[in-house]
Amino acid sequence: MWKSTGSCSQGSGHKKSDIPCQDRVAHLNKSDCQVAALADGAGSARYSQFGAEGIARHICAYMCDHFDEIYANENTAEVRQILMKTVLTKINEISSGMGCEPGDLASTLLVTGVKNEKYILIHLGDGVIGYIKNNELRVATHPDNGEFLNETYFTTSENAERMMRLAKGSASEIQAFILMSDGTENSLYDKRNRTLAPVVSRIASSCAYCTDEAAQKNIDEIVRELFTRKTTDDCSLMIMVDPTKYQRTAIETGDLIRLLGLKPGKDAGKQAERYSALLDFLDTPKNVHQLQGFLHVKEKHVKKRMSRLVQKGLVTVDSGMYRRSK
Amino acid sequence: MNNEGIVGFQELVDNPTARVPVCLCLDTSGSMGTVEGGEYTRTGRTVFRDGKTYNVVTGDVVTRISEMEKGIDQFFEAIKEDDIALYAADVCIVTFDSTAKCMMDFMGLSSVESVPKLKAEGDTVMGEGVNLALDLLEQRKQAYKDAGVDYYQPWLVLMTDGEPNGSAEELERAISRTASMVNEKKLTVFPIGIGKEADLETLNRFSPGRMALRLQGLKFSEFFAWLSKSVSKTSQSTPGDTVKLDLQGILGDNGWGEL
Repeated sequence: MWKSTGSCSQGSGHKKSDIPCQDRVAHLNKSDCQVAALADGAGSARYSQFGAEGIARHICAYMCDHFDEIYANENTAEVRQILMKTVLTKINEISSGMGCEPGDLASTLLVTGVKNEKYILIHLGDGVIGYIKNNELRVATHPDNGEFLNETYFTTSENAERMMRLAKGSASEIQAFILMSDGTENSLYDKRNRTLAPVVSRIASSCAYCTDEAAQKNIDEIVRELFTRKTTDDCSLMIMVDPTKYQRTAIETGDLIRLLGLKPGKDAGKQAERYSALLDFLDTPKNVHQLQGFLHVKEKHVKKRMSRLVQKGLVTVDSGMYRRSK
Repeated sequence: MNNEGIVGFQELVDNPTARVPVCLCLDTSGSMGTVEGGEYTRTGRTVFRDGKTYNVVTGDVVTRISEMEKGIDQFFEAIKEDDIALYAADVCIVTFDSTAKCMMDFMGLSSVESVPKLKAEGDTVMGEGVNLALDLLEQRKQAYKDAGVDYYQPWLVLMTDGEPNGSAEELERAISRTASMVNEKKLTVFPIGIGKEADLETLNRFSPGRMALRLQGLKFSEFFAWLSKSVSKTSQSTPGDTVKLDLQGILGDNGWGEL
């Protein structure tokens, strides 16, 4: 079962000029289909945050409703036409409601949708779509900026239909999709080598291991506290993961040290290994007494450890039964 | 580690700062030595330079070229004081008199200690100067591409106080190259006439769509202050941003559009 976590944060440039964050993320799970979208509003468009929000939500709903027919259509020119038609219809609807021009709502658009282990990717403009397949981090679509940095293609650009990039295929070996805006590129995309930073894998795995609430908290903090330090632009990140594909692999010790905030050092590795074994033990629900037997420690120490795991979203507790997060 | 250990700041990629390439293509012909102020006395001698006869003076004089040099110095200092612009601005100086010369190849200003000394002498081979500037811009863009460095639309600042008198063929080639790059939105050009004798008609041909402009008096400082602010603004712009370049008050005419 795929799940999505995303976050946006206002860049220092917009903070200074009192312009709201123009990046938006959205996701929807409907009809066995999980769709996540990210839209980066154009700096020159006065209401681009509304355009970005409206179009990100709309494309999620549209893809959930039309995934099968879009996937089955081998004529990519027709698919682009269909997608741009629904995008522009929505933009026109928003612009009529707001009494502004469609161009005032311009944004980029990055979308990933999965249904029955098949995926569709849509990318218009800059930003990056990445994915993790068999534990290997790869780039699906690179930023499309034209020659100069402050140029790109938007939903309302004349050539949007032609510039829209599409991909589809089997998602059976894909563990995660990663969508990012150009602001986040500065933190996660190596422009010289056109690769993603290795840390993207850890961010994705933390979303897979943690509860939805903990994953959301983590992504919010990373985007707000770290990515915005690398740029003056707004930053956004959307991670879509299939946690079932992560359970097949053990959590790396290094990941656990970071996830649990263990103090780096000789003991951290041993502590992480003990936590890793504990998580494996919690694949099925256990009560405090069972855990006491497993850990050979007093009840208060069991509770302390479990509280740490629950707080980090790695374990859930229900009616006194602890279980590893799905 | 701010994020409770999930991600360390040092684990994020370190991309090079996107560059704003700026080429200053400057007239250093004999007429740029024209005295515009200061305390001086006439020697009674005359010289024929750059197609005109000039009276020779001595004293503490203010010339067009000394004011231009001062303006560039202030431009460099203003960029150095702006953290973002300092790493984005990539500046080159080409001069043209009887020959075209690269006085300073593209570089970040953090490593520049002073403006190269400019000397007014010789003719005005403007075409050769602009062609050299465009060649250097092309080379620089290729170097950015090879190194994976993002860049903004390059700027060419062309300053002259007279009429071109180099090769007519080179001049036509320079005008044609510049105009087509401007039309294709590959270059932003600022043709600036200094003083009343500047040939605005020729300068206009470098700038399709908007008029070349005459600098009011010797307002080099104001122009370069504006230029540094514009570099700073551009270096912080993001896709879709329109950087407004408002020169009203600095230049004699209005009409600058947007980048």
